[in-house]
Amino acid sequence: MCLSMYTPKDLAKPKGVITTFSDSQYDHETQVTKLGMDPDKRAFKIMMKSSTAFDGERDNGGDDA
Amino acid sequence: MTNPGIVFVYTNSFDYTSDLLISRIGSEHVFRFNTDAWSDYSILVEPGAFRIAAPNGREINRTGIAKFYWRKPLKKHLIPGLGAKVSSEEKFCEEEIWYAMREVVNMLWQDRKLVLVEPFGDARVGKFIQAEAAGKYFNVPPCRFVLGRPAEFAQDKESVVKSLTSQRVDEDTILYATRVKEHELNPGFPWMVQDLVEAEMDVTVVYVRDRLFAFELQRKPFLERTLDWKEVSTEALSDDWPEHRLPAEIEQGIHGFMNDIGLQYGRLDFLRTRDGQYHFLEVNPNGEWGWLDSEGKYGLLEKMLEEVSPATPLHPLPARFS
Repeated sequence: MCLSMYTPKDLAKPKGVITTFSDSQYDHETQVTKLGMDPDKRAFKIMMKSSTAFDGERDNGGDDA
Repeated sequence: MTNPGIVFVYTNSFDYTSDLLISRIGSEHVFRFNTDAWSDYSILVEPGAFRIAAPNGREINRTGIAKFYWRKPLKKHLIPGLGAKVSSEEKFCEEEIWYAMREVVNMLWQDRKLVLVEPFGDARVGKFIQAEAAGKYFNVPPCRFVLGRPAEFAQDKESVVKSLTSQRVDEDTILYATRVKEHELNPGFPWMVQDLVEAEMDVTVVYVRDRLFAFELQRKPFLERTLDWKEVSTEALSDDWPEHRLPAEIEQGIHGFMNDIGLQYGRLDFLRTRDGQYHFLEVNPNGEWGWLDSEGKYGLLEKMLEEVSPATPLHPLPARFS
């Protein structure tokens, strides 16, 4: 087997679309996040789009599919 | 006025699409359960019954739910930035809770309260089942999963490799759709390989029970860097998905295909080539949709509200058993 052949690790790249998921600022009273109270904000749209990075992974239920 | 009841939204605390829905439906008509924030809730599950309470004092039970919407449940240890902080015991607890909550979902499924999204839909209709069914209606680039069969890899043939699961390869890396020469792939590893389609446009179609909403993305701005728009910075692309007009035969094909595979919701991905041909890539049975119509300009948001709101008619997924 040729050692220079690609493995999945060689071709994998960072999840480029993630901005930050460190603090959702979720509020149990309103049941939305601080960003969600102002859905016209560009940051809000960006975070929604960022979630596409989880399409598939989340739908498989994570690591116990 | 009659109380329309509650819609149960099963998701995570970073789910801004749920924010959008709840802002429009009204928080008083929603019970939101965030799987990553499980310790905030109290839960009791018994044979045939459950009670779940949120920190705001609201409590739901099996009989009080008008609809259930499987949005985006996500385990905390899989969230970038939070995963490293999750202890083994916390992970164990999370798994136990996932099991119990899965049974809650199954009860509501029996009660015919689930709308649009089939939980674990891709476990029933994954990429190969989809490709087979889609071939009746669309061009489908040939694909195959290969392990330990080097003869399957053609010399100098350019193809695309992609992940079946979107699982991480390293802590925070994934395998996007990537152009490769097949003979350069190490045959000792599992590969999902698909024929390369030189396309000028991505077309994504959100199918919502009986209607569809199509959007397009020009590929030229990023093609030199990658084949996969998901790899490109969100900032660079967030406003670049205008509406797309589908040919009538593709629209009809989508209705036929979704009916054949029994999904009431899905986001279908196509490539469109310069000669106007559409090539089916996949349907994600729970694909994200919020960013495509966050301001409600294209009818998609209104349609989702119509399906999910507890105040509108219920169109349940078929029950698995009763």
